[in-house]
Amino acid sequence: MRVAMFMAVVAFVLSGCAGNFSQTVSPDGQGADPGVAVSPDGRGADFGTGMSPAVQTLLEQGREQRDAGDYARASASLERALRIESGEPKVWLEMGWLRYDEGNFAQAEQMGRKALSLAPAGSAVGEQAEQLIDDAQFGWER
Amino acid sequence: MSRSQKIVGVLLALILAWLAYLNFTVTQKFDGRRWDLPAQVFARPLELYAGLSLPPERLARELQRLGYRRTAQRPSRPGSFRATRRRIELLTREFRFWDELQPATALNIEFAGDRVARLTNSHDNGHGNGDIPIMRLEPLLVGSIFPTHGEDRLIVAPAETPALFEAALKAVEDRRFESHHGVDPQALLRAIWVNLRSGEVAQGGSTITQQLVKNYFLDNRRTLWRKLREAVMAVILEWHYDKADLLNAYINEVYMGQDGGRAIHGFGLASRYYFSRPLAELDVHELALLVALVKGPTYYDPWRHPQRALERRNLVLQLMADSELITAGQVRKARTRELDVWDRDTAGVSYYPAYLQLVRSQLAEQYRDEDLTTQGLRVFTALDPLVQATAEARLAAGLTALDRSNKTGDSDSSDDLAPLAGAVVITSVQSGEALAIVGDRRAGFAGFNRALDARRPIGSLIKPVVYLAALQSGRHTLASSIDDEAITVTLDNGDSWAPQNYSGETHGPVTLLRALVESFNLATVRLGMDIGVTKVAETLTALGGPDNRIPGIGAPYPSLLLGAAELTPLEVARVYGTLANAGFRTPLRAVRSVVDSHGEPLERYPMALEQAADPVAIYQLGQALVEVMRRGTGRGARDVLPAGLVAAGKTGTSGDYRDSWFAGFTGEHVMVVWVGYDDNRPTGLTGASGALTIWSSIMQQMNSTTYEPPLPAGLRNRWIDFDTGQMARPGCADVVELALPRDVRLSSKPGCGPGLGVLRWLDEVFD
Repeated sequence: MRVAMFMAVVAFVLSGCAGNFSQTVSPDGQGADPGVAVSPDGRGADFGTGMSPAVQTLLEQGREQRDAGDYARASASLERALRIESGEPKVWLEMGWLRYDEGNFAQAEQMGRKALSLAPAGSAVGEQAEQLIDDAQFGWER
Repeated sequence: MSRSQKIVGVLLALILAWLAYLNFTVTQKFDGRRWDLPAQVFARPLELYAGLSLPPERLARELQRLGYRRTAQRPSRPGSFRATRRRIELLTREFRFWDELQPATALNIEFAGDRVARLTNSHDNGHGNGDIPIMRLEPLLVGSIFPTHGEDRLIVAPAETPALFEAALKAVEDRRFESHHGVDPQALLRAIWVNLRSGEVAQGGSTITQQLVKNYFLDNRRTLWRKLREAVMAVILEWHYDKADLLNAYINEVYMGQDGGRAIHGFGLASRYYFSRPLAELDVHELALLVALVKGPTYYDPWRHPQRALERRNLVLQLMADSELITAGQVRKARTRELDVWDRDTAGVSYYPAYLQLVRSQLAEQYRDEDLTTQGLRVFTALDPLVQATAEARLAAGLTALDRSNKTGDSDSSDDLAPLAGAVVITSVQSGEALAIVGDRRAGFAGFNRALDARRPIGSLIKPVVYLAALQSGRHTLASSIDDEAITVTLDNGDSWAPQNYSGETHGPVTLLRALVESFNLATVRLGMDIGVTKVAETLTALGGPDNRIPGIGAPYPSLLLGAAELTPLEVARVYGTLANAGFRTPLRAVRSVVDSHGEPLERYPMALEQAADPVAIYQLGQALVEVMRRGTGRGARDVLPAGLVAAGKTGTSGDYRDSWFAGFTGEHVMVVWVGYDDNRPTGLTGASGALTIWSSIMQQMNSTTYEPPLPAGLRNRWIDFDTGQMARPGCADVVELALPRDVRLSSKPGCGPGLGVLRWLDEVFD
C-alpha cells in the first residue's frame, strides 16, 4: 500500500519535471548483486552476469595472467576491458587486486576507490572494494 | 732496377694500398651494416566484439585504411575482405601485438543495424562454437620517428620478399646479376653505345651491386673517377658476400621517394607508402610499379605524374614477360589495371605530426632521441584515426566558416592577415588516453603545434575550478547564494582591480548554480576571494593543471579567478579530464606500450589513478556544467548534439576576445577546442560563438555516451529555484532538480511550497 502510494507520488513528481539532471543508475541496477559467488580468499568472484562476453573474456584472461604472475599482460587485458566498459566497477576491482598483488598498494587503493565510486550502494562489489581499500591501506602502512 | 721499374713499383704499391683501403671501407661498412631503424608508431587497434556500436560502413572504412582489399569472393588471403549489407567477412593479417602474436584469422562479422551482432571464426564450419568473444584488428601504422637526416625505412627479410619481385627487379635493373662479379662489362658497353648514339646519358650500365655501392658510399656526382671507384668497390663486395645478401641489402637500401622531410628508403616502406600494404601482398601490376620507380621516384611519381608512371610500369611488365617471369596473358591483364596507388586523401590517412609530438614527449622520459630513431622500436599508442580524422575535418571547416563570418561582420579586418588558428584535444574520460590531437587547421602540417605549445589565457574555463574549491570548502552548495555585485580588490602592490561582467550588468544575489551557468564574473570573484585565491590555485594544481603558470609566485593574483593563467589546450584537457572522471586524476597518455624490434616488451605505461577531488563536490559541479549546456553559455550546442546526449562543459573567452575556448565532456570523451589568432589580435569571438561551434560539430560525430556519473553517498535530490536556491515544487517558478548534500537545510520559495510537506513526509517514511 505504502509502496504503491510512493510510486504514485514519484510518477507525479517525474511527470512534472522538465530537464532534470540525469539521475544515475549503475549498470547493474540497484541493490546487492546476487549473482556473485566469491572464492575462499574473497577474490576471483564469479562475475557471471551483467557484463558483455567480451569483457568477461578479458577479465578471465586477466585473472589467469595474474595467477601466472604475468602482471604486465594481466594489466593490459584489464585495460582492454576498461576501454569497453569503463563504468563497470568489477573491472576496476579486478585491476585493484592486480595492483595489490604487484605490491603497488597506493594504486590498489585508488582502484578500490574507483570501483567503490561506481558500485551500487550496498552491493557485493562495493563491499569488496571497501575490503580492498582497507587491505591496501594496511599493506601500504606495513 | 731501372727508373721506370721503380715508378711502376711505386704505382703498384699505391694501387695495392688503395685497394686495401677500399677493401677495408667496404667490409667495414657492410659487416657493421645496421640500418637506422626509425621507431614505428601504431594507432589503437580496433576491438571487435558482439555489441560494439560500429556501422558496417565504418568498419569497411577502417579496413580500407589498413590496405585491405575488397573482394567479391570469400576472402582467401590475409588483408582482404568481402562486405555485404549485413555481413563483413575478412581474413586478418598476422600481427605481433606487444602482448601476443595474433595469427591470421578468418572472421565473419554479422551486423544488426549499426551494431556488431555476432563475431565468428568462419573457418570453424558448423561444428562447435565458432563464436569469438573479442578480437583486435591490427593497428594502423601512423608514422615513424625518423632521424634528422630524414631516412625512413621498414626492413623486409628475404622471407618476406616475393620471389617474383626479386626476379622482376633483376630482370629490369641487372639481368646478369646472378652471373657477374660486380660489374657487367656487356651492359656497360651497351650503355656506352646507346649513350654515344643518342648524345646524352640515356641508359645506365650499373649493376645492382654498383647501385648499392653508390647508395652506400658515394654521392650522385657522375665523374669517371667515381665510376671507377664504384666498380672496384662493387667487385670487392661481390668477392666477400653472396648474392642473396647483396640483393636483400639493395632491397632495403634503395631510395624510393620523398614525403616532405621524409625520405622513403627500401621496398618495405615503399610498399606501405604507395599501397598501404606489405610487399608480400602486392599484385603483379603493383610489384611492377615499385620496380619501375627505382629509376626515378620523383620523375615517375605516380601521384604527380601518373601517365609517366603508367608507361614505365607497363614497360617493366613487358620486360618481365620477356624474361618469362609472367605469361603474355598476365601482362595483358596487368596492363589494363590502374596504378592502384592508394588515395591518401579519401582514405583520410595522413601523418599525425601533432599527435606524434605528444608521443615523442612521452617517450622522451625514457628514451634518447637516438634510441627512437635507430632501434626499430614499435610504439603502440591510443590514437583513434577515425576520431582524429573527424576532428581535423571539423576544425578546418569550422575555422573557415568563422573566418568568413568575421570578414563580413567586421570591415576592419584585412584580407592580408593570417586566418584564424585553432587546436583540438580529445581524450578518453576513464583512461586519460589521448585519442586525437590537432594542432593546426592544415592537418598534416608539422609546424607550430598549438594543442601542445600555445599557452593562452583560459578565461572563464577557470570558473569550474573556483566553484569546485568553494564546494569542497563545505561552506557552499550549488544552492547557496552569492552577490553578483561590483567588487574592487586591492592588490598587494596597492593597485586596485575592478572586474566587470561580460554584459556590464549586475544581478544581485544569485545561486552559485546560476552564477556558473551564466558565467558571471563578479559573483565568481566574490566567491573566489571568500575562499581564497591560494585555495583556487591549489585546486587547479590538484586537478592536473601546471603549477608554474599561475600568475603571482607564492601569492597568486586575484586575476587568476577570471582565468589569467595561461594554459595549453592539452593542459586544459588534463584539468577537465579530472572533472569528467569524478575527481580521479589520470596521467594524460598517448603511448600504451613500447616493444623492441624483436617484439619484446620494453616499457608499459599502465593506467593510474589519484582521487584528487571530493566526490560530493565534483558531482555537484558536474550538475552545474550540465546546466551550462542546457540553459547557459553552452546551450548553442543543444541543436547540434545528438538528441539525448547529456554533456557538460564551459565556455572561455579571454580579454578583448583574443581567445575563444570550449572545454567539455560526455561520459566517454573529454574535448578541448581553442580558437584564436597566432599574433594574438582580437577575434571578436566568445567561447560560445567560436570554439563551441567546432566542439559541438565534432562531438556530434563521435558516437559518444551520455554523462551520468553515479550519485555518491551523502547527496539527495531536491527541486530548487534556479535564481534563489529555495526549494520549490516542480512546475512552479524556474526550478531545477539538483542533488545537494543531505544535511543542507533549505527554505521554501514563497508560493511554491505546497507539496513539499508531502515529499518531506515521504522522505522520512522511506528513507
